[in-house]
Amino acid sequence: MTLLFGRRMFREPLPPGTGDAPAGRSLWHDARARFVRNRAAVASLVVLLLVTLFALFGDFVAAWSNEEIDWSMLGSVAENGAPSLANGHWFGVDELGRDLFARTVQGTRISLMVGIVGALISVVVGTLYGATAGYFGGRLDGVMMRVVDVLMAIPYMFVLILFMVVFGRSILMLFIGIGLVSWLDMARIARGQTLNIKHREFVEAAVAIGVRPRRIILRHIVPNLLGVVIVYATLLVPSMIIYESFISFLGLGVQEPDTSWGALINDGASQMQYGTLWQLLFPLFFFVVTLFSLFFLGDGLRDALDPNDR
Amino acid sequence: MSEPLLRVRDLSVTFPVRGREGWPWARPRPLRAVRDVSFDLAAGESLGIVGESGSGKTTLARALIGTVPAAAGEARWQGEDLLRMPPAARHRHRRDIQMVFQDPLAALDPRMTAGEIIAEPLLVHEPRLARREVRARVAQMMERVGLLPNQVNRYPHEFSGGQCQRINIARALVVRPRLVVCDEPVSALDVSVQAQVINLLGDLGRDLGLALIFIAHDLAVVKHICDRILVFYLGRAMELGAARDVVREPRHPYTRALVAAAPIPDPAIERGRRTAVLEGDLPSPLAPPSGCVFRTRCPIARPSCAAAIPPMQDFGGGHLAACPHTGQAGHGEAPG
Amino acid sequence: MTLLRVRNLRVSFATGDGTVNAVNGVDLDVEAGQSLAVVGESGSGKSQLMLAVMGLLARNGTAAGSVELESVELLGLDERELNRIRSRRIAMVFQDPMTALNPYLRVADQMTEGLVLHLGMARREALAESVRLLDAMEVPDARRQIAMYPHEFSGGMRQRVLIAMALSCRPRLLIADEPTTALDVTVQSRIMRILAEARAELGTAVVLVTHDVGIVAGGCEHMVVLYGGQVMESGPVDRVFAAPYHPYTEGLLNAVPRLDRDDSRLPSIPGDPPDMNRPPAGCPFAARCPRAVDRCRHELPGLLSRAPDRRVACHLPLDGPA
Repeated sequence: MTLLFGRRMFREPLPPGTGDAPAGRSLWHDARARFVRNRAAVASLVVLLLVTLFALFGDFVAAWSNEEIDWSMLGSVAENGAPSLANGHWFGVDELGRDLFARTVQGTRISLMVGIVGALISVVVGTLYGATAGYFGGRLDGVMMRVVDVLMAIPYMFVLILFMVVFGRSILMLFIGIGLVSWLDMARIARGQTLNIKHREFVEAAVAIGVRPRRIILRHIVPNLLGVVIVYATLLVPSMIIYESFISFLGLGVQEPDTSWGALINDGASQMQYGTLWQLLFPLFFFVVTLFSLFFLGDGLRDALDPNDR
Repeated sequence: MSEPLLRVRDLSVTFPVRGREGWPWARPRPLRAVRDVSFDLAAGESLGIVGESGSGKTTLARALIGTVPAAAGEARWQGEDLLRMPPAARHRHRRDIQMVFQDPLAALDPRMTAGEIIAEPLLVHEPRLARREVRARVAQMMERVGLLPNQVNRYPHEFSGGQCQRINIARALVVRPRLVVCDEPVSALDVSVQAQVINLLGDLGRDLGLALIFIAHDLAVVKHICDRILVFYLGRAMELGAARDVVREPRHPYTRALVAAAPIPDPAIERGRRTAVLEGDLPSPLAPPSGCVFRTRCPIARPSCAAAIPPMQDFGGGHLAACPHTGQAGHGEAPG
Repeated sequence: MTLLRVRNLRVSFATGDGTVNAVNGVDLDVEAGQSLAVVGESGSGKSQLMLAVMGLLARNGTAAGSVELESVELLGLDERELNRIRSRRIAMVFQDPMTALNPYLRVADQMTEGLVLHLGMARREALAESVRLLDAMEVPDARRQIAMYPHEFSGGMRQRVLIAMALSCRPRLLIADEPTTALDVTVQSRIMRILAEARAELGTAVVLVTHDVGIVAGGCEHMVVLYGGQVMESGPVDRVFAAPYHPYTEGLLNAVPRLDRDDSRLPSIPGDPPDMNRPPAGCPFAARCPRAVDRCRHELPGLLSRAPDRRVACHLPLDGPA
């Protein structure tokens, strides 16, 4: 509450006679200017936007739904199922005769969601957890970080697979599994940064003023962490997508009729011997392009937000 | 004399220092950053604390504003001991004692605008204040310290060092404190800007009836703004007295060395001075010398100096020095 | 003979926000054995000027003009030749004595390196020479201390090690960039004395770059006052202090709090140093100058000789109309 209040307070006009107060150039503003100068990062952002649009609105464009089976294709996928503009199967069909374009839209949706949910959980939970541990330090820090250590020591791919086997394979389970582990790294990073920030004079100044710890963490530490956190989050999205893909590739991830990039690639790979290469290449293309874009984006953000630049 | 605003008695601050060797649970060694410091501060009075880096003067300031815990002694604020107060009461008193930091830019949150920074103490200590009132108070304070009201939405990196220090001062004064602790407020500034900030602090102190504790390594700066001076060495007070007396007639050999070493921007005087240079370096605060802490570098040290810690001796007019061997005549020379 | 002769030196940096001109046409002469103070505030370009002389500008910086050391043009020399001249002819001491030393090498190894490399000494010989140098710098127990690592030294001691290293190859010119700023006053006066003694003994010319006019008064013969990347005034220290010609010099001298004076109010210079991203059109000091007239804001005053040995860049110098 105070957060918003404070931010807005001086946006209103000043008392009469003092003239107007031009808005200052915030560090975010400078970072944006630096980011825009980075061509590769901007191009990556555009690509990611296109992929997102593809995931959101692909269904409206698709000539076929993702569940419909094109019976005319069944049995002759290798001969007739190749991508074609004429029959509306722009990406071809999969081995069951379903439209691969629609399936890719569906897979993109789920893969992106996995990445974004994982990154969001890590940003929110990891940042607050790490900032709290780092700011208070001492015994609390010790206990909080040992918890993280213990969770990290568990081979979580194994746990995730166990989860899937025990509770059944569902997207919810996948999210819970990824959410449980994704924030651990972020908590460590946020804590390390907080240790730096809390010894800067402006934090000491806030303590001297009498600002309460909660407000110091939310108002002074977290905003100064965000640069690093955002960069790390953009690098986390791909790793989440990769984990999900790996699990789906093992056949333990999302369950039919749902699909994801990993599942599609898995299917495509298993059909390669029949000459239906498109089944592998289209999902793989989206997967690779998205990951590359995210890496470039993360790079660009790091350059733009790097405090050493100042 | 009535109760002073702040009465510090035998204040000590100790930090635990953990060596790299040994087990994590090994008992840490104590670093006595400040030891048995006593002084009084009247309302509206300005006290300068002078010492070299590592002398513990900054730690003393932090103990007073409560960002480091004191190990022993007392600091009575209008009769109440700040060091043993319940947290809620301590919080109320934070309003009365504000601080200005050394590095003007580092002391400002880079993600906040000048207005938000200056308003923060108001939001903490007067949460019921209307927004309009907050903005008016901030604008008024900015004007008072020489900032333009239309700079309210600018960020710290858009200001020069001198302007940043003005923001710091505005933030410290916006809640109308009784005492402002200034930790080397001008040492990071350019010479031409230093004078502005020194004058500003002097004016504000006088106009608002503020008490000032002004910490610096530069005796000349302190002498300029302060009524009294406390000289610090290795965590202990060496000399305390009226600013003029301490500079003109330093009693303690360390103060004499400080006065002698301070350069004077006048070639005619400077060439004629034979500066007595101190031998050696500041000893480690982890293993301070026994007895008088200054004896390892003192030009008039005797064997007896190692035996006991010399008490503060009164030389008249509230001029105290912790040296039993200093004569009436100076060993070093006072300039001018 | 003029040891160092700098003519119309310009230093500019290409940054993300455009070109920043840090030094704008500075002339400088250092005679052999002379001690010269280059006085300026932050942003005056004093450090960049000296880095340009040393050929040590950051990668995005370029220097134009002329820097002659003993009649040899230094600008445009390749890195190998510069390396030979650096440390043998010119040496530099920096403000922060910790970062200039390698924390992982013993002081002995760092000190002997230059002697072995540049003077072709044997290691044993170089070590003896290094100990002798540290002795001269009043480092107590030099023979034992030299085997220690830099972090085991105090700040003042490290600075002495650096000065000893800088002087080890007997350079003709020593550039000391704020050598005492990070040190305490009692240590500062000792470093200044050591520098003076080295100059007297070795005949090394010393350029002291500083913002502190206090140490200039005691330690230098000549001074150059820089502001906004330009020379405002130059002359012998005694005469400049006694009667400055430039309003900036006067303001600077008056603004320093002095132990021997009791003014209740310091005469201060209003305003802030100029932003070198957006340099003013006329005299860089015009915006803060109490004497400034319209002409000062539009027309850059040239650095003109006003008395023997003294030059000033001002339309309205303090000793009368230009």
